Amino acid sequence: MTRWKEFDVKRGSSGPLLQVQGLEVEFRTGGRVVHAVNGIDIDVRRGETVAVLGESGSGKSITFEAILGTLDSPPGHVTGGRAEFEGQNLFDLSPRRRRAICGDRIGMIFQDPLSALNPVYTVGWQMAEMYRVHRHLGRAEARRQSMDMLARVGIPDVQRRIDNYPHEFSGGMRQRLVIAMALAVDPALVIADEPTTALDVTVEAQILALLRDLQRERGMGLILITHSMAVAAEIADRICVMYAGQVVERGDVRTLFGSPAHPYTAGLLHSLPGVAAARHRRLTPIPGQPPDLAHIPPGCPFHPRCPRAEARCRAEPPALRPVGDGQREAACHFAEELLAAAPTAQQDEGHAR
Amino acid sequence: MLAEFLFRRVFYSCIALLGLVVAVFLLARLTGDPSVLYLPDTATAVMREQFREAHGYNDPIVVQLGRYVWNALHLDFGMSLRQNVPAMDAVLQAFPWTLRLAGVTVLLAMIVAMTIGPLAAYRPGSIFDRIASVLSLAAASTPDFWLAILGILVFAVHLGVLPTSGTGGFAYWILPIGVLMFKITGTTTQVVRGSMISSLASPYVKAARAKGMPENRIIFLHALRNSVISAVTVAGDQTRGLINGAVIVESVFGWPGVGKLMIDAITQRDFAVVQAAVLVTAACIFLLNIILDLIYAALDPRIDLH
Amino acid sequence: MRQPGTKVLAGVAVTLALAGTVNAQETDVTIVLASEPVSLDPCMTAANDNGRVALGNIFNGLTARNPETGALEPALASSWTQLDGNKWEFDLRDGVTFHDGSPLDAEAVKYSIERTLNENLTCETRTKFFAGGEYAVEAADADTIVITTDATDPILPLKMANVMIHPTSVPFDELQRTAPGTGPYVLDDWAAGQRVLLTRYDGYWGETPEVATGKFIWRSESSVRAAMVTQGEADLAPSIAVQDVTEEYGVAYPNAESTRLNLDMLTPPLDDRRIREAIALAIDRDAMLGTVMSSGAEKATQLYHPTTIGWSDEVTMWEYDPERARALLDEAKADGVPIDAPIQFIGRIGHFPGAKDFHEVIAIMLSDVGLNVELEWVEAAVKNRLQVKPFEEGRRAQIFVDQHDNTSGDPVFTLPSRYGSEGAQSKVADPELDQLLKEAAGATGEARVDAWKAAAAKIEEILPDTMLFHMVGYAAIGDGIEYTPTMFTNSSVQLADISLK
Repeated sequence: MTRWKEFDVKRGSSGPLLQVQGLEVEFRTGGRVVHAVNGIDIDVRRGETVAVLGESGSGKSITFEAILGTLDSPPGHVTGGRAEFEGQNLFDLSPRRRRAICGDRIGMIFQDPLSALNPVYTVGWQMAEMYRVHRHLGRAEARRQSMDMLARVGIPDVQRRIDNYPHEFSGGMRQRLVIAMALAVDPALVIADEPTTALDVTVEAQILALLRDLQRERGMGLILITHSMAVAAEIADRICVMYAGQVVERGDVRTLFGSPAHPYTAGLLHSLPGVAAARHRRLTPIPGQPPDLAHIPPGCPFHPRCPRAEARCRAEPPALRPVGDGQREAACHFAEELLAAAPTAQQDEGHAR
Repeated sequence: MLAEFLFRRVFYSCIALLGLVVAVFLLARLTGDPSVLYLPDTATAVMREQFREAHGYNDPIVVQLGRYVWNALHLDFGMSLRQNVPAMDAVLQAFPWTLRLAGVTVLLAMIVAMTIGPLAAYRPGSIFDRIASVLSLAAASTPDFWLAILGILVFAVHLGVLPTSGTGGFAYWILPIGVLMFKITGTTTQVVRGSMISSLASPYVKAARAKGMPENRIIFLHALRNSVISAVTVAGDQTRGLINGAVIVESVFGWPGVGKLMIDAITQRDFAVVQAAVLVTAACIFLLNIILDLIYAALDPRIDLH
Repeated sequence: MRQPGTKVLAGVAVTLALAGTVNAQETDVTIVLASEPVSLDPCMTAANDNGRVALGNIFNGLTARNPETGALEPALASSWTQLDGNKWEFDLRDGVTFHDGSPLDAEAVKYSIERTLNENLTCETRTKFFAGGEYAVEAADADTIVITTDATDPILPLKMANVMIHPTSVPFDELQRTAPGTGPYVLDDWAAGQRVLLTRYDGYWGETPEVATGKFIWRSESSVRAAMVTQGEADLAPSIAVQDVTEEYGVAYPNAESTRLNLDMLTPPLDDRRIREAIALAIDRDAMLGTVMSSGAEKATQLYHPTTIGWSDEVTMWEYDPERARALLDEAKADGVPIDAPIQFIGRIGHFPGAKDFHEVIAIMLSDVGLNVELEWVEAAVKNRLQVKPFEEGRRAQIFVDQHDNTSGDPVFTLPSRYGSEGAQSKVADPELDQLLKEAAGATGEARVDAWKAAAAKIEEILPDTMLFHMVGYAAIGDGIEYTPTMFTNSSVQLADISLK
């Protein structure tokens, strides 16, 4: 359990582990072009947890499929941007080199663990292939290490259950299996795509706790893709809010949740039952639907749903820019006004606790 | 558990077989008086009456059925009206010919389909995929009869490299198997291709890619294993069809199989042979179904033999 | 996918080609039939596939037909005489032994005839040639047999050409796969579904035939049979379809089959003779020849060949006259005959090569003159049931496309069952015709010829059916043999008639 530290020391870079800049992804089907990701910037540092927050269809999963190279292509195409990981632009690598990084240096945890596990192989087999392919271990050694890892993620009775099939596990246990697989060979970065969506609340808390523990234990970077503010608040250091394939606001979790500088973040916050109750407000869902990514509205993509929208919002797309104390960025023409009008984070948190 | 499964399946199969025997018996009697077909049109009414009396066709149908079932339980399946040999002997003599033809055909077809199907599915829309799809579709829809005659004309008459028909050495197997394989290979290739395309698009394949697994491992271990199940299903269906008798191919090539025997027996109203043939093929198909279920269970752990 | 596959296949095939070709010895002959004989029991030779293999090869009768002239010749009987109207005496040939070594004697002949007529066996020979009538058989001495009939039977010697003689060791009440005979060939091997092998019998009483072994195989497809002859896999295919005939290997021959439309004269509108005559006039037979019918076929006036005794040249050959047909229908309609009533026009599936087109063309011709025919195809069993008494109650009027072969040379095997009031498939009940048929059946010599002619004239007067064609068949004959197919080729392919080149 010390190996990750050696890697860490060896690499020892101080910059971001993963730095995504201006990523653009399009889906082309027939004559239709869907702009799923439109120039996003995201970075993750070692030992840090970044939550990528957004409604479904906001492009958050596509972003990381593009980075991992698991995008269905065709129809998906990366049309611009860079994704620098440990000093290499992933998009410059050959497919073979890139595949070698996947699983080994970057682990992926999927939303629906049952469909992400191959139904016709035992969990031991699927676990062991991580060690066999990436570490070139023999059968017995791969099995032994698999058992250790499975025990670490909290699978009881590993000796017996390693030869079971995925369908023989409960939802929570399956997610533990997927986490064990993603973390098997000590990746530097783990991307978790909605890891708790399919689980009930008590199991969700256990899984999040497990992820947090493992992340601290191993010092890896963790990207948590979620649509849940509660999950993000629970685990993230920083938050990155996505809307229509763009980052609309990002910053430190406390700052952002305390006083959102973008009407969309504010809207998400208000639609959260716990927060709404804490603030003695009625739960107010964001009106309208996310935009059709084939026809993104001009100007600010959020303007059709925004309570503050003005003529300028319809014409001029707002850039992501530092606002407030400079620790956060938002893409809204009225970010400052929004900050000024909001109650302070401290007061609200005081009420909540 | 396995023993219990086998016992239960065999037990139910036997009940089903009994039901089938009764159904075939009754249906055969509905198709008309065998004396009309069996005797030439010059036969007098008296002769027809004598014939019916001699073969028990004048007894009430229930009596005939009871007699048949009782004898069948004693492994006496009656005499062939035409061939004057025990009906079961005639069937058991023909059946291995059909079984061998079917077995080799399905095996070869599976091998071809399991090679071409995944390769075509890997890059849907590629030149290879298009060629494979068009050819397999054409093969799946080519009429056996036409193909058999064409095969004889080309390979036996024009090129003179194969015998036209009949049974004998290895060369005699090539045309019948080639003709039978055509449709089955086409169909199975299409199915394997289709299920491979959906397997390759499934979340677990995406997950395997994210796990960094090499592409050949993904195709042949992760995806193909899941597609084998549908290929086995199709192959099972096709085998059932062939066991029922590759009637056309058997007729054209003079292959002494059960399909030809059964068709001849039906047109001649040789009831005992029809019934024995149905019984044997049905028993074989029930057995095949049990084997298929065992294969499914081996291939897919989610399938419970209960 | 296919190209590489076939290449591999062809490659494998080339290496195995030698193993595959038939490597027949010079005195061996392979004959490919349309289907397997179902039984080689001596009393089942009346069925075509059985007869082609067994009749004259394995078994002999007391008499035999000359394949070229059709004349009756001595076989196991060296001579025969009619002792009186109901009694015939046959003298047996000396020195004949069965394949099992036992000698031919009167007891064996008596036993063979009695077994053939055994009611418990439903022998084809009995049902086809001995419908009705009692036969008492006596062995007068070891070499003489006397047969007594209940009614005068002038053609008993002809019938005896179909009764195959076998030893008394053959079980009386049980059909056999085969039995020992007296013929030039012994059944050597019968691999069910594959082949029947006959080898020359050294103790044969007649002239030793050239062919040492005859192999009979069967393929259902005419094109395959023809291909086997061109490829040298078979020497003779006695029956192939016209489209498979090649100049080099094909031979046409009259196959003894005759076609007719069997009209349902018991049901309106076909119960009116004018309608039946209109049908006879509505068919353009000349147009059918060379199109849907082989040009070698001949227009027929009676259901048996002109070589049959009692064939009458006075029966009308109907000419195509649609105007007259329409006029007859109008006339009938004016008298209240329901000429619009639907008529079921029934053809048998796969009846003969090209049958489907044949059926369709006739149906169109009948519609053309104004009859309401509905073409329907049924399988053999269904057609046979519909055509045989008891006829369906409450049926629509029916027309059957029917085919019949009579190679016996006597109309007695054709007319009574079709036109006599007792006939199994007869819709005619005419006392005068019954009387004529009875007289003819009992007459001999010129009287018999005249009586059959009179019956033919009476049948024309009643007009229960429409005659169409005497059909031709085609045989494919290989390079290695000489063989002339005749009208008997359908019922017997005698290896002794084959000579080697």
